[in-house]
Amino acid sequence: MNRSLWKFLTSLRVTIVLLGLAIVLVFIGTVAQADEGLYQVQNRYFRHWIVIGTTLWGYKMPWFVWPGGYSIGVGLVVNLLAAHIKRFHWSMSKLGIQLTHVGIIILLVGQLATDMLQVESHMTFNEGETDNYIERARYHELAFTTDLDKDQQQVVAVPEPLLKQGETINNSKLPFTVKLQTYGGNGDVVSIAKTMDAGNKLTAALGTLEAEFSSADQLVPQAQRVAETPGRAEIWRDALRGVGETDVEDIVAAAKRVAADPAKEGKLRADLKQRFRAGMLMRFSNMSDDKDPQMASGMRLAAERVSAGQPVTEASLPPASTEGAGAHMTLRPLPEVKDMDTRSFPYAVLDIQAGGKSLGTWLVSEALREQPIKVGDKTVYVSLRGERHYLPYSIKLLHATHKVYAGSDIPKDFRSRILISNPTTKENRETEISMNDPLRYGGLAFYQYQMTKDELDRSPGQSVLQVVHNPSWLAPYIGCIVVAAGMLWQFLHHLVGFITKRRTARTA
Amino acid sequence: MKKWLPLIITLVFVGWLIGQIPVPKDEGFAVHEFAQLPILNGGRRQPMDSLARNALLQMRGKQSANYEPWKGWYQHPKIVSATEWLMEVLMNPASADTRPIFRIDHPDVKGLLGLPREAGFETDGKHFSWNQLQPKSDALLKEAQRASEVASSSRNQFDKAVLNLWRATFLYQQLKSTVQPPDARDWREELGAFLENREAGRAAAIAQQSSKPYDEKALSQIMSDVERFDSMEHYDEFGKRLEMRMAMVLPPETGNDDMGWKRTGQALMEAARGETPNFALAYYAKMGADYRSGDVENFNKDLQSYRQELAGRLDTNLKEASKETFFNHLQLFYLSMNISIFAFLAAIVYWFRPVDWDWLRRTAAYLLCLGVLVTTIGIIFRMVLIGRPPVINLYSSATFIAFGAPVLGLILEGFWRNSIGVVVGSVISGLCLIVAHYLSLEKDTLEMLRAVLDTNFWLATHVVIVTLGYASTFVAGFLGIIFVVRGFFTEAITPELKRSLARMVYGIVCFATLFSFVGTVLGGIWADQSWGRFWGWDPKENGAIIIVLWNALVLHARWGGLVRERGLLVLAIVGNIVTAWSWFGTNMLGIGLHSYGFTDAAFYTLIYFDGTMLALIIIGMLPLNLWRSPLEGDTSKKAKPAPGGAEPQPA
Repeated sequence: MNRSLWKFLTSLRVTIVLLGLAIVLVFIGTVAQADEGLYQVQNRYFRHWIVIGTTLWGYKMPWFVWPGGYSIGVGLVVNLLAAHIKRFHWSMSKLGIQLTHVGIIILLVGQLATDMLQVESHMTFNEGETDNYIERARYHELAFTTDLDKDQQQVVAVPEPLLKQGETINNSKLPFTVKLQTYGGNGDVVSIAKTMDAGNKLTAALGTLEAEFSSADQLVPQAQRVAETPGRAEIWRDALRGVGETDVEDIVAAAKRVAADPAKEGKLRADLKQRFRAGMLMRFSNMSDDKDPQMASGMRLAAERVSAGQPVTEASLPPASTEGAGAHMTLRPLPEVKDMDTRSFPYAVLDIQAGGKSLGTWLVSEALREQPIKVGDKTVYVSLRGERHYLPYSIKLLHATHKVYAGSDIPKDFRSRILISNPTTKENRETEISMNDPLRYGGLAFYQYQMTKDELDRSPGQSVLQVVHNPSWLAPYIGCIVVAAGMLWQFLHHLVGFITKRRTARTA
Repeated sequence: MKKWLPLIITLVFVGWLIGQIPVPKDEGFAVHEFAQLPILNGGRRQPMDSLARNALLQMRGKQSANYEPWKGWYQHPKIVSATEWLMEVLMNPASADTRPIFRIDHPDVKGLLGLPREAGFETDGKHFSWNQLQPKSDALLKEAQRASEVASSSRNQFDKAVLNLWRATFLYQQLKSTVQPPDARDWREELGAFLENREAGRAAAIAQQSSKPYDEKALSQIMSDVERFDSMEHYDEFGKRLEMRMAMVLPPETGNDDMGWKRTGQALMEAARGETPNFALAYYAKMGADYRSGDVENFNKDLQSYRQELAGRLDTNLKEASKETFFNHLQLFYLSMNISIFAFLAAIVYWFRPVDWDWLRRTAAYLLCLGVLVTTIGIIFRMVLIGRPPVINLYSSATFIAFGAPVLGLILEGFWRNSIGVVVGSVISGLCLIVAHYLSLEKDTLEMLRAVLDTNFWLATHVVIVTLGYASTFVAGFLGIIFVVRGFFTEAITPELKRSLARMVYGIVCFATLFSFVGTVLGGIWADQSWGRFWGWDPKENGAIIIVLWNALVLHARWGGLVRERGLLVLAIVGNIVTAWSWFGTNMLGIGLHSYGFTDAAFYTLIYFDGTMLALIIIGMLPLNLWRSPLEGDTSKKAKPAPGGAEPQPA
């Protein structure tokens, strides 16, 4: 090999430059998260060879070019290996340095392997349910299942990248062809009946409100009714001030004064109506109901329509499909979410064709259960769901525990008691998974996921396990021990040397 | 004499410390007894005292209330303890409404609320009472709503000030609804009437629903009662969204499970539904009535009998509450901060001594030892209170650095005996304790830990080791500062001293590398244990790895001969910037963290700190002929490789 190249590769200066480049990269990759979000930063800065363009503290810097995480990592590994080959010789005083560097190589290589090999999925089940598959996060599939016999299912799954509007799906195992009429990345599926119901309630409430303030002589009795309710009383006071009343402590007295003044009372009534109406709409559109989420989304949709001055009628809520659950549902397309905490619910409307004619359309969404499609005497179940991988064993959720600290909403403890049944090994045993205490089984690691408050309210008996397949998971453990041992050896070696030297210097 | 002087001075300080221990005796209401009443708040058992102090910290940044802030200290303004103030808020809100306890600094917020901006008659232009804010509380709410909709990273000073003030006023309203309805005129009487009418009212309500004849008076009374209690509960319901739940003051009926504690409003609503009223309701109502009528004797008697009622079954709660009240009273970190300042002064004077006053150096070292001792007691006390390792949040990381850095400083002092270790240790310790004080304004520092953090093993290993990494990197950095400041501005740095300093820095950086590396990787392993990912490039992780990379860079630069002694010392100062950023800067990016109040002030502090460090770095790189210390001519030739000569120099 070229001697100067070898010298370059083994040079300590190169190490220092690489460390400096790494520091700047990590720093910029941290600040840029405010603008780009963690997920994109990971891919663009750290899991990449080169970074082009960045935005820091709101300043766009398209000219910014920097080596990415892969380049620096590979550079450091090459530099380290080369330096070791060149300088390696066995001695006690060097042992520490050697060990440290070996450990760092293990860490770097292990991290690279993790990056390339790790697959993240999850398992979601309710107490008492048994599952034998895991679902990939953020990947979906359109699945057609047919029951073959009691225990067996035939599954035809179409992965998300193939799901595009206008696409036709033909499969010899399916008794029909599927045409994708619509496909959307995120949408709320809302029950038409519930929306109508909510719309009626809202209109009725607004009607009552209208009646309550229809004439001047209603002002005083209304004021008497609310005088004791703090929230409503405040709204009254505000409105009374709005028509020029200064002393509003006693609402009833103030209302009497205004009611007697024709110039003011009309304005006050209009103002109060407006305020209570806004409050009512706000309550509807912020609705969340743990027991009946469909009702809550119906209320949100109704409030949205009413605020926009649109009607909430059967005609204005077209069903999403002609057949299946979608026949009673309407679609409310939403923008796709990009942050890590919330997720999108993709949906599709399928036109099912058999024997040259259409059997109708079906709506599929992750928010809906699987729906039957009958063709002749065959029933195929269709659903849009997370991409599944089947396991050679099954897991049953026996009990899910979610605790918060008393009198607070601070999560305290999350754990799942599960039963693993593996026909190959004849295992049938119970075990427990909790936060910070995963289960490693069959090459996978199962972690307890901490559900958010909303998720908990929505589905109380549910537990989510994060499932990770990472063949190189041990590398950081080994790497850390080796580096720590190396450093400790080296620095203690120095320290002992230093103290002995000082001792001799002082006694001398 | 000089031999004993350090010991005598230290003993004087010990005496001062002992003087701080006794709790001042109450004249009149048994405030201190009331302070120790156990409650449940923020998911943890605590005394009334902590509720009071944390509330005042949020409202005015102090642990006591000054009712006459317009008076200078020499005019003896009326200053009362946190609990004394809280008692008034809980039991006589109308009077509490006149106390100027909301601190407002932002001129536009004062403008919004129509408050005086300057000091004047009975106002200092900074502290205001609820009665002063109330007329414009709608305007405040409106602005707060608007500000809360602005993304936290793009809120301006005004937005943040408005939000802070609004939260403080909301907390105040919550407190007023904590033991009785805020509008109660005579709560004992009203509670009695409610309990008496309860059955009749319920019967009337049932009769009315089934369209039978009913007692109209009983129904209307219970309806208005329920409405009042419901509006108390409203503050808790609304607080859920703000992560500000109300304190639970009513102990469980039976047993001592934390889950059995109740809010007053909650217990009243249950009583209205027909359940047995909680036994403590009556006690608080009695105390409230006594307090209002100024009946000291009966108040103290009722308080005493309530405590006796709790004794036995709730002994643990009582004991814990007393312990925490005592801890709050001691203010150990504040005491230790004062001692650090004296240690620092003594050490600095020693540097400018006219003759060799070694006793002064020893005094400084002894005082720093005493300071560390007090900090240590404080940290251990906290550990006992919460049953956790020393570092559980940003606040405790500051106190832990205030412990770790002076220990390292004292070790250096033991070797070199030139008071440099004392200066470094006392400065870092003092600064960190100030930082801790500001962090304590944010929230309860003994907070409960979320499920994922609920693991003493990882808290004791990863967090403690990483924090030691911070502490040691700071020590190295401040050694660098001493070199630059004394070298450039005074004649104190001799070539030999420079070599000693470089050696100290080298040794400390070695340990900093070890701590920060091991700590960071342990953090990764913890993440792997709880989420299945070793490294996720989140800001705090990145902050930690930058410290590791930086320390590694410094060591390699030294080994590679890229820098000599002066270079090493100047690089160490850069370490301060790196560490400060990792420690605090990563929390200020507005990613996944609430950025209220302090973090904003912290942002500017961080900028000033970094600016100062940069200035020192630049000075450190100026040609040696500009330095006052005689370091010229003693450069590369004599510079030896690092002690131990670990790494071969490149050819």
